[in-house]
Amino acid sequence: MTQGVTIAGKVAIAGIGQTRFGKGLEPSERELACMAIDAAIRDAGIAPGEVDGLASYTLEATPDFELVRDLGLGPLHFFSQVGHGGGAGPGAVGQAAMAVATGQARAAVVWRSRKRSAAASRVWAQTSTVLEDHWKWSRPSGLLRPVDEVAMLAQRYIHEHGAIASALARIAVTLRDYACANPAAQMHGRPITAADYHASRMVADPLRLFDNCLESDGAAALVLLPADRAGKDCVVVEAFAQGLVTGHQSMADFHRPDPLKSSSHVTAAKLWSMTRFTPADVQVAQFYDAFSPLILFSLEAYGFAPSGAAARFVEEGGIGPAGRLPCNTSGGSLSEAYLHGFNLIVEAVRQLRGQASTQVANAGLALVTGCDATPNSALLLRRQA
Amino acid sequence: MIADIPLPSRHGPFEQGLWAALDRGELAHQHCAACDSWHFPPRWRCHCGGALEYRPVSGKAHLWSWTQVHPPVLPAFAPFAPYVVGIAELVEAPGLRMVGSLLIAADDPINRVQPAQLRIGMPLAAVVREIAPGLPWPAWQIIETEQPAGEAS
Ligand SMILES: [Zn+2]
Repeated sequence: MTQGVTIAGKVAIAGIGQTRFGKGLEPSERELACMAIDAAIRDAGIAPGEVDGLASYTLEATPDFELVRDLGLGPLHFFSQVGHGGGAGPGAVGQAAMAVATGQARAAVVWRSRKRSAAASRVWAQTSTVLEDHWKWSRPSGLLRPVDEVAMLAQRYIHEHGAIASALARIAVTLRDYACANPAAQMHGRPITAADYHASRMVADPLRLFDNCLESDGAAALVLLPADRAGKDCVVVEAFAQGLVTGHQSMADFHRPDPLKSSSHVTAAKLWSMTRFTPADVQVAQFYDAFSPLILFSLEAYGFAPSGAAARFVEEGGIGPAGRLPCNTSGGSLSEAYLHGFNLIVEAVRQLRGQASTQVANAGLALVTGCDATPNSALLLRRQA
Repeated sequence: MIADIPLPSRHGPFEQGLWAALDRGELAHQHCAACDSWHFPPRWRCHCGGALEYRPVSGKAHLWSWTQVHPPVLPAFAPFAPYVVGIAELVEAPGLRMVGSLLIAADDPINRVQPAQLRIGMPLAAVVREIAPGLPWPAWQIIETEQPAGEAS
């Protein structure tokens, strides 16, 4: 049941744009942002000067005023950024959608640009000598990388619910198969098998190389317009939620009675309270997948599998093209590109437009989630005929 | 001690009692007398609104989870990789957990323990040792490595 006033159906994602994805791309991060935003604006069929709102991740290095100058946007009346890395994407879209729904902005662009594929620029490798933030409690003991932190939760999940290795292999192979159908994916043309997964090197026990997202350069962008401006057949924001469960600290989230009940659980509860739809109505999902166990955790948090049952859901083919819930259908962060999840949102729009490389028949309702291991967010998108 | 690792600042808010105890070679955490709850990481006050006071803890814990970290890692840790890191859940309260190295002997390097020796739930004891000059931090000594009788290996 819905609670009071919502943004349901009021805002359309009227334009999408993306650059090439790859390692070591030539253009600068700022130029990549310009290319993706320009493509999204043209896709929406508006003039750059109509854009009066910008939203992005706090991860961005490019100030919004540079993009306004580069692209001829503005004047702006809404500009915001959302924190917590991979938890931010659906939140940035949701905040911009609230601005468009309330008239604070008439046309908003949400964007993500990343040129970080060089190993030396990995965020965890830039850790300072003296830690002031919450990572002071774990990094000095050698728990250094995001994958190490997710491995701790995966190991605990295995202790509580049983083995997940076959399910993780199935996730890696399924997403790679989707990427092989998607010419834009970084791993297009490079299929893998379950045997390849099990033979890949251990990175942080129980997680292997193929449980990790790609290192990518690239950018993607969306244009939000009031739904009544977007034409008859459009993709609208049905619901949006953010969530930060009490006691959660980003990634190294070990200090609550049950860290396996992540912020996704409160995000999901809020999301489903904002719409008449339920998980049973969702036809395609894009779960944040920097590490493959996050898909298992998210399947349970958002109500697609009971607690402890996500591995079986995956092993039975549930996330494949013929499954109950095709997931990460462009290849996701494991096999299309890693833009902290923003390409997942673009793929959800393509599915609802009927333009996906692995198209889910008659997709009318799509879920997109942010990182399960950080304070996060989710979007429910709907095709409006 | 391992040279050039990232180190925790000792000057964060609400932490003085933690560092004071570690400097004595002891472990203490914030406790709320009003609702008898324990808290870590340090915070302003209890979720019940009660005041928090540092009290010594037993140092007894159980292994809550672990991982073995394989390369590539920060250069300072590279000579030790792969190495195991654990999460110890203190007996004082569910959720009162600390990340730390796992040890057989109190002066072991961080990479002596092997995954095959680990069992989630196994008992641990805190060992406060310097991770840098003048910077004490708890590691966790395995105080029983045998499988309990009757449990398959
Ligand atoms: Zn209290």
